[in-house]
Amino acid sequence: MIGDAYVILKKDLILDLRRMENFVAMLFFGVIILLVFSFALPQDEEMHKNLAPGVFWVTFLLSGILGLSKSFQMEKEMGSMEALLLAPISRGSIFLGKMLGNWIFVLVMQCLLIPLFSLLFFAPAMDHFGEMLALSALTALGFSSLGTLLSGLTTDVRFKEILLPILLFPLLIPLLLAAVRILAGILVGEGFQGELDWLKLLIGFDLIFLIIAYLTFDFVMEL
Amino acid sequence: MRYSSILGWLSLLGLALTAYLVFAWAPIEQAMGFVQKIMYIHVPSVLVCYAAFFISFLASIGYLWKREEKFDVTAYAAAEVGVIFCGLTLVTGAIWGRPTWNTYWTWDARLTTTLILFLIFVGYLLLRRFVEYSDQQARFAAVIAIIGFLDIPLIHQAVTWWRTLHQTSTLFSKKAGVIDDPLKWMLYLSIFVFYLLFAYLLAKRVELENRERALKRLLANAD
Amino acid sequence: MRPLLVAAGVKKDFGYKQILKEVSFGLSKGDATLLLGKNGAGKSTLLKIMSGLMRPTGGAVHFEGKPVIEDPDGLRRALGVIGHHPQVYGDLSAKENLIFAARLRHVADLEEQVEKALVQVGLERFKNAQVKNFSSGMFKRLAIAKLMVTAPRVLLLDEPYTGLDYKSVEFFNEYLTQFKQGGGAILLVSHQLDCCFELAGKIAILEQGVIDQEHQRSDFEYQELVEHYQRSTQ
Repeated sequence: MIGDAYVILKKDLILDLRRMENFVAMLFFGVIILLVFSFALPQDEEMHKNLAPGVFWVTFLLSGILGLSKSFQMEKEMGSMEALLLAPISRGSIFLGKMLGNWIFVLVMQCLLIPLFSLLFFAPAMDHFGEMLALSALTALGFSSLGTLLSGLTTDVRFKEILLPILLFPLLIPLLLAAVRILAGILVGEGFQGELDWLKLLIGFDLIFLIIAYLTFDFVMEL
Repeated sequence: MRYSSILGWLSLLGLALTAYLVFAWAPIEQAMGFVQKIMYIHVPSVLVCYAAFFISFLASIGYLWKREEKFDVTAYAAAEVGVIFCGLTLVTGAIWGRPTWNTYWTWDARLTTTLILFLIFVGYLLLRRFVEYSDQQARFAAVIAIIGFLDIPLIHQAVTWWRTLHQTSTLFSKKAGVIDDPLKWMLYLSIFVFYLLFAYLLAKRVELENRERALKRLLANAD
Repeated sequence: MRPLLVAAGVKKDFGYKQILKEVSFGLSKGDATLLLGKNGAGKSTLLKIMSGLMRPTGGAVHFEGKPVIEDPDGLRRALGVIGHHPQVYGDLSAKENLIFAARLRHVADLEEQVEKALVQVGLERFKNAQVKNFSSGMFKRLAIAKLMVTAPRVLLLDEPYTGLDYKSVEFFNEYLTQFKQGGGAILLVSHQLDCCFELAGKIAILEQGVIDQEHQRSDFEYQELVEHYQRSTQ
């Protein structure tokens, strides 16, 4: 099962590499959102300090969701989804492969987005690059678990561009709140120590929805 | 159906009786005054709403397990009735909040949880609209109902830590005398009557959905 | 001999409409069945149900005597499908696509198998080219190469002849004949009777959601079948 998931993951990553434009588009979308925030919010260093965690995660959500839908879009283009479903592999390994693909994709984006965030919105962020990336890894795990499930679910649905965020964002609120709080702790220099309860909640969310998404993916993949 | 019309008459009588007692018999609460009477709608509504989503959750699991249409119909009907009572909770909460907290909306933990729940299940109903009637629609909807329901404890925990101002759930706290006796009995009665009403609405909605599907099936296959 | 893949009383509703009322038939080893029926009769749906992609509303599909729902992987391991789409990744090369399909089926010495198949279908010159610019004939050849690599025992083919030139049809039929002679079972949906008439041993006609009877192909002269078919689709 892990082997099958790995084969799918590798294939997805190769496709992502050959379609760099997807990644570039997503990154630039993130930059544009940051820019909009910089323009729309007051130019005040003190104020930015308070707003930074929220701005960072909203940027993450909005550009991350673009990455989610592309994963199943690639499968649809030439009917390869059908071939994948006809292969003698568990639906769970399809889920794991796709989920990890999305996770890595989003995480690579975060690697570039953190410096840009530091440049465009909140300069001190760069000092906490490592911690922010670790936090991103945890946040992106819950995000891509639920995200992969729901983007698989909405692939064939009309008006999916709007339906996916409508379904996904409310479900992600605990994750978002936890990520915002922990990031606030990190930015004032407390690291993860300041918000241990939130960290537990975040990890709990990751685990619960990783398992549930894995289990329910079967029902989403039937035709 | 005999069964549902008995429920209907019972809940009508019950509602009339409750309305009469609320204004004629139940004393005015000392701290909050007359406006407190909205509690007899607000609290029962929120309890019904949670019960409805719980039924929808159970029926969804039942559907994915057994693949029988009756589970799908129940899940759908319960979610729809649940959304109505959820909306009622939010509206009465706002009306109640204006004189007590001096604002229509506060980001209080339980109110916020209810709002997010409302959004999730409105998403559920939208999904049902966007996907054509099929076993796919039933499966997708069931997945959303299951994840949505399981998300409730996480949402609640997150929102509680995030901000709280609501009076703690006075109704079920063990300490005697927090709510005056007549008020308590009044509330119990109204909760009971609201459950009756819920049972009636659910039974009616299931009946209606069954008929609608039977009719559409008949029309589609008549040629 | 017990048929390999059996549809037993398969029913399927599509939305409110009943598409398949009661379909029962079997695919035997070494035989090819041609499934005929007018547009919208539910042929593609039946194929999807037979492949286990779609659950029937009622009835069941059995593979080697076992219900497919209980052991879908058993059928999937033995199954080769050609559908309306090429079922490949445009950004991967022909060779990569084949290797990916073979990996998911745990094919032994896959590099070798893939190279061999690419030579056999005449795509070795294009093996490292990304397939997004392939012609439909090349896609069909790639699909056949995939079948060669994954070595199925049952083939479900949905309109496999569309977009093929005369030479490719000949090549494809050659492969199918060999497959049949090797003990494989084929279910074929096609409107191009001239292409597959020789190949089919049995003919099943799906009408009003039912397959009322299976005909032996030898019961028909080609011209007779064409006329019969024309009548039934009017």
